[in-house]
Amino acid sequence: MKKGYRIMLLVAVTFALLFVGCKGKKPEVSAEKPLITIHMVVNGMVFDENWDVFKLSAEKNNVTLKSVASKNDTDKTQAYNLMVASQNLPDIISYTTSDLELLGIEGGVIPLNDLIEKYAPNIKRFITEHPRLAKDMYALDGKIYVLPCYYDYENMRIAEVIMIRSDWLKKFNLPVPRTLPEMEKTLTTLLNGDPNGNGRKDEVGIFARGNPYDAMRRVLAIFGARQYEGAASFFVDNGKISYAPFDPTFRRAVETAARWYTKGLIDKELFTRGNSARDQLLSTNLGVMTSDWPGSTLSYNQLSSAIPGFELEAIPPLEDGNGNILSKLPVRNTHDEMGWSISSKAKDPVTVIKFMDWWFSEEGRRAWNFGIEGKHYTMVNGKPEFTDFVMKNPDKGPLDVLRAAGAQCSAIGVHQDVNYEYAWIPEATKRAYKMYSTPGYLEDCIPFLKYPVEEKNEFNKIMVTINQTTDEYVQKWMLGALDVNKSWDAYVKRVKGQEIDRALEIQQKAYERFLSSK
Amino acid sequence: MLKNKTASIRTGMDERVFDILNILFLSFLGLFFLYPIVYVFSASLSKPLYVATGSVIFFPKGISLDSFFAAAKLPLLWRSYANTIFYTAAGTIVNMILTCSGAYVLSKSELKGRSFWVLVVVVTMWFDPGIIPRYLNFRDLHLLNTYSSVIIGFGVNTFNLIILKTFFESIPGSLEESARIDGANQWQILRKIYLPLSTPALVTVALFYAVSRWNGYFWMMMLVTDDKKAPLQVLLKKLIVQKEIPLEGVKILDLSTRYSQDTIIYAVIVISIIPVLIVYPIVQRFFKNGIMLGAVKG
Repeated sequence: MKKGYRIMLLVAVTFALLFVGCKGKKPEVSAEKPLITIHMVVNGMVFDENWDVFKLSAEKNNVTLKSVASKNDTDKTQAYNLMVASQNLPDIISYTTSDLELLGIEGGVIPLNDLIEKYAPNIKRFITEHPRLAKDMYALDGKIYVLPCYYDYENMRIAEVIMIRSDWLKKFNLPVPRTLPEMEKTLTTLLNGDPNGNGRKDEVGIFARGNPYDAMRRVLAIFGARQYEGAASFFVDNGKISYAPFDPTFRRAVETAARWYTKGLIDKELFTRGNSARDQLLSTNLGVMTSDWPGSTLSYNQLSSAIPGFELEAIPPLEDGNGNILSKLPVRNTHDEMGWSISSKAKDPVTVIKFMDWWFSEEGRRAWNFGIEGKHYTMVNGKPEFTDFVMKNPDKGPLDVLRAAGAQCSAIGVHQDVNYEYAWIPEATKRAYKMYSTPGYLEDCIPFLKYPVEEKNEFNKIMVTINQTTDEYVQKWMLGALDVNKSWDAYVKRVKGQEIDRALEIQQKAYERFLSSK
Repeated sequence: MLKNKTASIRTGMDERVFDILNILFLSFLGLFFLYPIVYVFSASLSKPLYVATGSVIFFPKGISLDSFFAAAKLPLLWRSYANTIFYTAAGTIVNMILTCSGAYVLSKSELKGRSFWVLVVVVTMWFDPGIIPRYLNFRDLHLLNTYSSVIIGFGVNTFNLIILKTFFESIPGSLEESARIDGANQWQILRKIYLPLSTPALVTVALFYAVSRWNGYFWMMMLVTDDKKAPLQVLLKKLIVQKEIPLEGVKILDLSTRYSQDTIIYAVIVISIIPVLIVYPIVQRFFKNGIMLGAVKG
C-alpha cells in the first residue's frame, strides 16, 4: 500500500517538475528603446541580434533587435512556412522576394511606398539613383513589399567563370584552349600525361560542385547551354521569350557533354561529389578544370604552399570557331532574390522603416559590406581595407569571417558594394574579372518578371514538372542511358505535353509588362 | 536456439540447406547494416583529406582524435547531450506511465463502451493531423519552447499502447480474480500482478520509446525554439543543413587539415550513438523474449 502511494507521488512530482521547469522566461527589454522583432534564416544560420553589424545597427538606430525565429530550425523554407502558418508574424520578415511579394498581396506584409516617401530618405535616393535596380522593387500593383538584397549590378555582373590548372598547361606547353576541339585536345593531353606526376592516371577533367543538377548545369554552361532552372530557364531572342533547352545551342551542348563524359573528359563522379567537389579535387591535385565563382575558387591558389606550382587561372569562355562566344556562363541578376519586409503585425512601422533605411545610408551600407571599423576594416586613403582578422583568420576564409559578424548576410534589403569583393579577392580573381569584362563574353540573364497571382501559381506549377523532366533527360543523356539524337523528339514532346507553351505565354506577357513599365 | 533443437530432431536435408542459406543471407544483411556504422566510426577518426577523397573505405586512415576535440568545442554540444539524456529519461518515464495505464484500462473487458474507446485510440494510427495543425495545437496550449511540449505532447504511441494492451489481455483473468478476493484494488492489481508478469513486454515497449526519444529530432526542432533546450540530434541536423548550403566559403583540405565539417559531423554522430550501442546489448536479453508478443497476438 505504502509503496503504491510512493510511486504515485513520484509520478505526480515528475509531472509537476515538468510543468514548473518549463515556464518560459520573458526577455527583458529596456523600456525606452523600441523593440524590433525579426524572423530571418540565412546561409544555414538563424539571425542573431548579437552579430557585430546588427549590434551596431541597433545602437545607431536606438532600437533593440530580437530574433524570433527558432534557433533550432535552420531550414529557411520550413521555418518560414511554420511562421506564416502560425500567424506569429514579427515586425520584420526576411525571406525570398517572390514569396514576400505574394505574402504582401495576401496582406501579410505591408506596402512600403508611403513609408519610404515620408521616412526613408536613403531608400528614396537609392530609387532615384538606380532606376534599373528600383524597377525590380515594385510588385505588379506598383507597390513595394520587399526591399531586396541588391548586388552592385551596375558595376559587376560576372558570376561564374571557367578556370583551369594553368601550371599544367605550361608544363605541357599547351596554349589556352579557345574552342571545343582545342579544349578536347588539351584535356586529352593532360589526362593522359599524368600532370600531377604521381604515376597514376587519376586526374579528373571537367568537374563542378553542387547537387547533381547544379553540377550538371555548371558543366553544360561551358559547352554553351543556358541556365535551365525555373523562371531563369528562359532567354530573350529578338524580343521573344524562348525556353533555353529548346535552343539549338543547348542540344549541341548536351551532345558534346555526353560524348566527353563517355570519353572520361568530364568527372565520372560529377553527380555524386556534391558541394565539396572543389575541396576534394583541388586539394588532392586532381582536378583540371571547372566553372564556378572566381572569388572563392581562385582562393584555392593558397594550395601552392602544399602543392608546388599549383596555379588555377581563369580562361576566356569558349568560342564556336566562327568568332562567336559559345559558353553561356551564369551571370548575376540585380539582386539575389532575398530581402526583407515589414509585416502587417508590426506595431510601429515608422521605426522599422527608419531602421531599414539606415542600411541604405552610407554608414549602413559600409557596415553591411565591410563589417565593423577597427575590427574588420580600417580606412586607408578613404577606402575601407580589411584587417588581418578578416584576411588571415586561422579558422575561416574572409567571407566566412564577415558572415559570422552579420556582414554580407544576404537576406536583408541593402546594396552590395563591389569594392568589398575587390578588398578580399585574390589577384587571380581580379584578373578573371578583368578578362570577363570583355564585351560579349557574358550574356545577360532574363530580368525578374512579375505575374498576377493566378498566373504565377500556374507558371510555378508548370515549371516544377518541366524542370524535373529536363533534369532527368539531361542526366540520362550525360550518363549515356539515352541517346541525345534518338530521344530528343520524345523529350520535346514530353515538355510540350507539360504545357511549356502556356508557360512561355505567361513569360512573354510578363516580359512585355516589364519592358513597358518605367 | 529453439530452431537448432528441432533441426537436430529432423535432420532433413532441405531444412539444413535452408538454414545455411538463411544464415548466409542474414549475415550479409547484417554486414549491410553494420557497414554505415563502421564507416562513421572510421571517418570520425580519419584525416579530413582522406574522408573527402573517399579513400576511407573500411578502416580509419591517418588516425587522430582531432575531430572529436573540435566537436567537443562546439557550443552547446554538452548542453545538448544533457538535454538528450533528459528527454530520453523523462520522456520514457512519462511514456511508460501513460501507456501502462492506458493499456490496462483498455484491456479490461468490463470497461463500458470498450470497443468504442479502442477505436478512438486506434484511429490515430491511420489519421495524422499533419504538421501545421499539430503545431498550432501546441501553440494554443502555450507549450511552444517548453520541455513538456515534447515530453507530454508525445506521451503515448498508439502502436506501443496496443502491444501492451494485447499482452495484458493474455494474462489469465483468474489471477486478477484471486487478487480481488484477497481485497486488492485496481492499482494493486496492475502493480502486483500485471506489471511483474509483463516484464518482457514492458522492456520492449520502453526500449521502443527510449530509442525514439533518443533519435527524435523533428518535433523538437519544430516546438523547441531555444537552442539551449535542444537535444543533440537537433544540433546534428543543424550541422548537416549548414554543410548542404553551397556557400562561397573556402575550405582548403590538405594533410595538415586536422578536422573538417564532415569529420566533425561524423564525430558528433559517434558521440551520440555510443550510449545506445552500450545500452542495447544489455537490454537485448529482455528484448528477445518480448519481440514476439505483437507478432503472435497482433
